[in-house]
Amino acid sequence: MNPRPQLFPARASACALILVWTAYAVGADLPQPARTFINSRCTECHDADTSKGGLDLTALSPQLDDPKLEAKWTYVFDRVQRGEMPPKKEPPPNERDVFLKSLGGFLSEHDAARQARDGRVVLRRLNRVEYENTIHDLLRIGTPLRDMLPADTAAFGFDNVSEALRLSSSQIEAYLQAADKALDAALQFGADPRKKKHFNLLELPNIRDALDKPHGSLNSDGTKYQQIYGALPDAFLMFVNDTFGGTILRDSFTHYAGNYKIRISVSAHQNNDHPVVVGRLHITTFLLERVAGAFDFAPGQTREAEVTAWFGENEGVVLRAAGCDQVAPDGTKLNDVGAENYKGPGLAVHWIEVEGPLVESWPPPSVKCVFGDVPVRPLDKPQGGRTFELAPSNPPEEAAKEVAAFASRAFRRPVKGDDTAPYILLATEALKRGESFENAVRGGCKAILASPEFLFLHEERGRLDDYALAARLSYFLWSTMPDDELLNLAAQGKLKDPATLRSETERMLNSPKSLAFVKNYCGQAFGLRNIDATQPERELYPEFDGLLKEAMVAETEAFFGEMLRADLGAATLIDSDFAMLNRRLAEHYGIPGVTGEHMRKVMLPPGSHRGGLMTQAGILKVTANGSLSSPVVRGTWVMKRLLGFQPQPPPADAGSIEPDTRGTTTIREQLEKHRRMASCAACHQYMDPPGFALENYDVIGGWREWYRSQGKGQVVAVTDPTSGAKMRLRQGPPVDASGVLADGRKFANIEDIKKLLLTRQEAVARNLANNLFTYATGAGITFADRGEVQTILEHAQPHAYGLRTLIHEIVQSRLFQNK
Amino acid sequence: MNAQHFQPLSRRTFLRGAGIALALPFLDSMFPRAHAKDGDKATRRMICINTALGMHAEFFFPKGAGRDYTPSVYLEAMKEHRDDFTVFSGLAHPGMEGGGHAAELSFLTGAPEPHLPSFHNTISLDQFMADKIGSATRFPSLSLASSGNIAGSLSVNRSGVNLPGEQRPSKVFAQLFLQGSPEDVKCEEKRLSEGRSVLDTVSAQAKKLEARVGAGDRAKLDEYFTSVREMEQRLQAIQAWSKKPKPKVELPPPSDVQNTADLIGKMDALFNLLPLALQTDSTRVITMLIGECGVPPIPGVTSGDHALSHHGQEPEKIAQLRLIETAKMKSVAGLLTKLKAVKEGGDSLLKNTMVLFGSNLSNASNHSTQHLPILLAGGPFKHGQHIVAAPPENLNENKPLCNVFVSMLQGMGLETNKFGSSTGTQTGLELAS
Repeated sequence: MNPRPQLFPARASACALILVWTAYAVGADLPQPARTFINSRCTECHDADTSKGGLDLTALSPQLDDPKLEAKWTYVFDRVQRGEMPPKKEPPPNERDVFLKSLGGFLSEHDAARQARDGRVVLRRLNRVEYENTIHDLLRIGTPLRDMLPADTAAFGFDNVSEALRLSSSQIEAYLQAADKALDAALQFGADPRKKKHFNLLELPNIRDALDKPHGSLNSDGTKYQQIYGALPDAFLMFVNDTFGGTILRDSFTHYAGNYKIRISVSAHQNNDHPVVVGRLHITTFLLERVAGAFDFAPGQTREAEVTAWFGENEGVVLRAAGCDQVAPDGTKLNDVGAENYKGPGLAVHWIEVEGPLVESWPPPSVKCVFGDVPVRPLDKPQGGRTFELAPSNPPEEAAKEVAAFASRAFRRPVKGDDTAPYILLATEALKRGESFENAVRGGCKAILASPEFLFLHEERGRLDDYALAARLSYFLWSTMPDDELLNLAAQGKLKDPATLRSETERMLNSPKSLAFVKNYCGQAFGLRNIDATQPERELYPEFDGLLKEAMVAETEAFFGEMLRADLGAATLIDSDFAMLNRRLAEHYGIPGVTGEHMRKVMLPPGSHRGGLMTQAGILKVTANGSLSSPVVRGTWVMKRLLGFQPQPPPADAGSIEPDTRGTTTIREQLEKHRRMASCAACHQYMDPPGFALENYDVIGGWREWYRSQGKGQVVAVTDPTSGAKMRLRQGPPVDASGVLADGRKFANIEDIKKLLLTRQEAVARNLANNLFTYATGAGITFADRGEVQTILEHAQPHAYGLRTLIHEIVQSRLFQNK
Repeated sequence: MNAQHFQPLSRRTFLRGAGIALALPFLDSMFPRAHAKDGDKATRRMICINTALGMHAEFFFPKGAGRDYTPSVYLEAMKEHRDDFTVFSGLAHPGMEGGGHAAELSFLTGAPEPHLPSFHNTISLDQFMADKIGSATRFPSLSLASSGNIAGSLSVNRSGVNLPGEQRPSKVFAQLFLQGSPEDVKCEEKRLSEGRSVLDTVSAQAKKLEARVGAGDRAKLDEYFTSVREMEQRLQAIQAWSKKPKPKVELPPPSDVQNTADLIGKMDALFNLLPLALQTDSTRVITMLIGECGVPPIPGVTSGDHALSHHGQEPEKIAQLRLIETAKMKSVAGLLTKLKAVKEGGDSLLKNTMVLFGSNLSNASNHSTQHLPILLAGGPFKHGQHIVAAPPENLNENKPLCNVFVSMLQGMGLETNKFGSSTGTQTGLELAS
């Protein structure tokens, strides 16, 4: 029995974290006070004979150079500190403190020695997202590059942690290819491709052809023609949601890759009892498509909507009427009656406009990024697709100058002659061989883009210099290279000044570029990158579609963005009186009065069952598979990702639960059996309960009071709030969301659990701070860093551990400003 | 047409006449070693295939051991090849408990505890082979995948880095067989020499930087340096090979399967190219990762493959899972058929190609990494049996899968007694005399 009532494994008081530095040599034996405590308090269960939970402390080597042993000893420390061990006879507090001080000092000393030797953060390579963003800023292009590079691996939960960012020859090969692709895109000397194309749909020949054929007329093979398109005097009508029924604008196909602005003028048609029709814009190669944007159209008004999107070299626009199900309220089907007599909702499209590529001048500014002030002049006669040419007056001199300038920007710091000489040499040698000026400079730039100075962040041991600090800050908040303002401040030596650093952090957080931080952080810390890991089963969840999925991810990102804006903290992660919603998601949650496709702050009505992170649909989806949710997975998500509890992996002989969903045993019964085994209970008593409280949410985050069943169960018709269609579902057993916490306290539902969690805000904040630190610096929080995290938490506590406050505290910290 | 009508060509003769498009069966005569009589060994090859989501045990493992086993549901799909494969039970990688899906990182390496933060992978079987014999072919190895999973491919290099897998048949075909116009070749030549001078420059820079940094950073720079050096060597080899024309084949360039869920379509499209890749001696070592696909367009299948693998013992889901896994088995059987149809000297290409098929999970429903489904076809072994390495009841007494890998290394003609967690060769798996 645990003598102290506890809700979740409690962190011990802050004072235990302030570690005393002792004089034990690295690699030495365990200090005597720790050894004494182990011998008197632990070895009853953890010796060679009993070795409970597979742990024999008499044989556990204190050679901390082995990361596995270091992790084991840290785990021993944590469990004693949390008061979970020893489990039966509680040692007197002073004895425990002596042990924690002794073992803590031993662990901290070792870790600090490693940091002193190597720095906390070993040489950090740009990951592929950072690489792409950096090249985009460096060359002012938008060409997608990340998918050309192998996926990065993660450590401590983030793929920007230097330890995990490995290299192989395949990666180097990919860098060479990506550099070529980027330079190809940047160096454009052809004719100005910028255009604005306006399409009045009813005037397009292929649309007129399609409309000409009457419904029911005979096709050449004897079948009857189904007329699915219609016309109003000033608009083209579409009703179909699938790949077949879209409007591909043939003339919108681009021959020039770039960002384009698409504008549409559309109104909803015949949607009186079906309030909203969605128009979805896709970009297509004819074979493959991706969504560029989706817009709600309310009844009775024409709306002009626009979106900016990347087009590849040979891609065009498709418009689809999403959410139209081709069955009218009177039951008639589009295919039967034809568009003319059809009474169901559709889209009335007036015109579509495609403008781009969106560059402010021609030749594009990207040419200047490589060739600086070298004059560019129009050719008298265009040759081989070229309309412009470079006109250097002194090629070798100008090549050297431009390569050096490019290197300085690419390396994010001023360069000396020594640093650039090899790259300049590449260019000048090429000139000597008779290469063109353009190719010579380009070769030097290609080498720069594959160089260690570009691919790795340059951080020297000890305190970071201003340029390294600028880069660390920029990759933290923007996932890209520092901008001119940061570099100017670094050049003036002002960035280190705390007030300047603070105002720069504010500026960066207020910039739209901070969305990169929000996305990368939410995607990883909350697991949102797994949103596509499983597909909800169509039969069970017919209402799920791409729009809902996108809204799920957007909700959590907008929520985190709002926390960042308004300096909301740990308590908001647990529960909030607002949610970030658009119409689609609000309908999914059963919250009325939200219109339009954009995410905005909505105050939650009573009884909404929402608020905080845990009840967001995206989180509930990534903790479920396509048909089932597991309380273990969801409970682990809460414990690990919210509270920072690191469960040990199950012992080797545990096996995992073989789920049996035939209905004979419930997962709850199986888990109870599981928890009766002591070795499982050690972690599962903490991990499972929050998962039970989330049983009221289905695999797509909808509220449920009964499970949807694929096998037995009565058929019930439920109205899909979005499409208005009837969904035929089978009613399975009722949901029981109650449970018992490790300390014996009971809860009935999610609301109860949230209240209990609100008493654990410090743990939530500590986990948030640990993760932010890891992401901000590119290295995990290890034992020697714990003191600094504690200091930050103490500073942030009066601000309710607000997210913005935490970020400022981190930026001002010693950890952030040292290698 | 019959290859036996022709005298073996020397490589030089072949290269001289390479302007002419050779029909496939001609190529047989390119491999005098495959024709060799006593004393000379045939060219040996290997293909390793891992389907990451397991195979339903009840349908995979046969009943009874030895040559008289009763085939399982899935082995029925391979029955025409019964004498050309061995099926194993009781094999696993030690130290994989709790590994879950991360175990796919270790399928060909055997490195323990892939799910722990301290995990460091080791070289995979194919890369180990490629290091030894890869220089003999235009491509030291090919790493393919139907889709990326946790791993990009099954291949892991010497530094423990997982290599990307190529998913597009069109790209594989172009790399193997498309020569390009003289203009393209010139461009490529230029790109290669530019690539080499770029790599020269940046590796010198890395060395210079190494002198100024601490031990931790030096290890990172060293990895960069090593990768650049390997790439330089690779470019050098590519440059040498680029002077030799690529083999010409009659097969039209394949188009890529557009439906990302069409797993079987993607497997078949890539498998189609493998006999050609081997037969033309473009490579001798190939890996293929079969990842998750979503809902494959197989009649009767309405759920995603990952969801179905977590069937929870529901008969309807197991029935759908069976449809997907049977289709996978048939696709693999199709590969064996294709390899068998190619004659090399007196033997079939299958006789010279070891094909390993299996999974890093046994029961995906509970992520078990014990008692893996493993099958080895072709190559120089005596087949036609079910080898029970350890009885299925004793989950924790599996024999190391790496023992099979050591047998395969020896089957490849390499003098190796140890790989990963091996304790020897696989008992009962003998070379055909």
